[in-house]
Amino acid sequence: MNKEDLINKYLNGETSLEEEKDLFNTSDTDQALEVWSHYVSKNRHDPPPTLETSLWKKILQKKKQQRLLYGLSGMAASILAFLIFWVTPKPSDQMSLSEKRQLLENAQALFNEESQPQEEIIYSDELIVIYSASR
Amino acid sequence: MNSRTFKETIIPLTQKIYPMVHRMLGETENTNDAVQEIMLKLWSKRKQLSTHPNVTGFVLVTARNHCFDLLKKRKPLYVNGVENESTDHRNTHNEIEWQELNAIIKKLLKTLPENQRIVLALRDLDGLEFAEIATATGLKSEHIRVLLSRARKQISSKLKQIYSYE
Repeated sequence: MNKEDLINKYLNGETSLEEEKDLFNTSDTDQALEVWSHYVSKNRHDPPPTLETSLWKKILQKKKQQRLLYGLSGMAASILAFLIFWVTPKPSDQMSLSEKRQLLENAQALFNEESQPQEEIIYSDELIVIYSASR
Repeated sequence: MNSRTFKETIIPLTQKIYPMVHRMLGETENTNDAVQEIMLKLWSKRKQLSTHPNVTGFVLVTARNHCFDLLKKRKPLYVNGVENESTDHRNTHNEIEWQELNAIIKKLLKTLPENQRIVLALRDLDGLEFAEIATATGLKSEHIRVLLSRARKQISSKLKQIYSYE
């Protein structure tokens, strides 16, 4: 493809990046394109060669910090859980006063029912009552 | 996405985003910091990246949005899609010529409609593919080609007019 065709292709927005690069690097094109390519080359800024390496180092550093943070958070959570377990009062083996009272009353009631003799009146009048009792 | 995949697929995209970030922010020192922040942001989104259908597009959009966020926070250097020029003035003949040329082209660029100016900068200055420009701008590739063609033709014709008088 000759230069004129390539310039037309460029102006129509049909060139590839490679073709555009070649076109910008060619000195004897038309004057307008030369001026434009000079402007482009002065205003295009490529990254410094060490930037990718330094970026990757930063990311690794962040990764380490995150791991440390997760480790510390896990440790703090474990300590907190342990403290909660330790501080919370355990349920006592001894009965409360009300429970004891209730139990005593139940026992007394049982005893009274069982110890009360069953009475059967055999004879009664105004002066005397004769009954039989059995347990 | 694991560390190795990130290193092999995302870190090399620095080559793609750096020219755009530099053009938008205008200063080398800020550009390096901004690219680093963008990469750290992408690192924190690496799970999302691993399932994304267009990783390059996602990276470009993240970079562009990050630049807009930075520009919102400071005095604007990014004017209508083209950065302000460097203030390194040297009184050499070439430097004066260059400053003149730079001023002329910046003035010409300002006369272009905004979408033409953005597409021209993304293609010729940042060296992005049409598909990448489409992702970054949300425009269709065919439309981008038309905008680019119009912008190039207009700049070319105006430069011819200016330099034909010299």
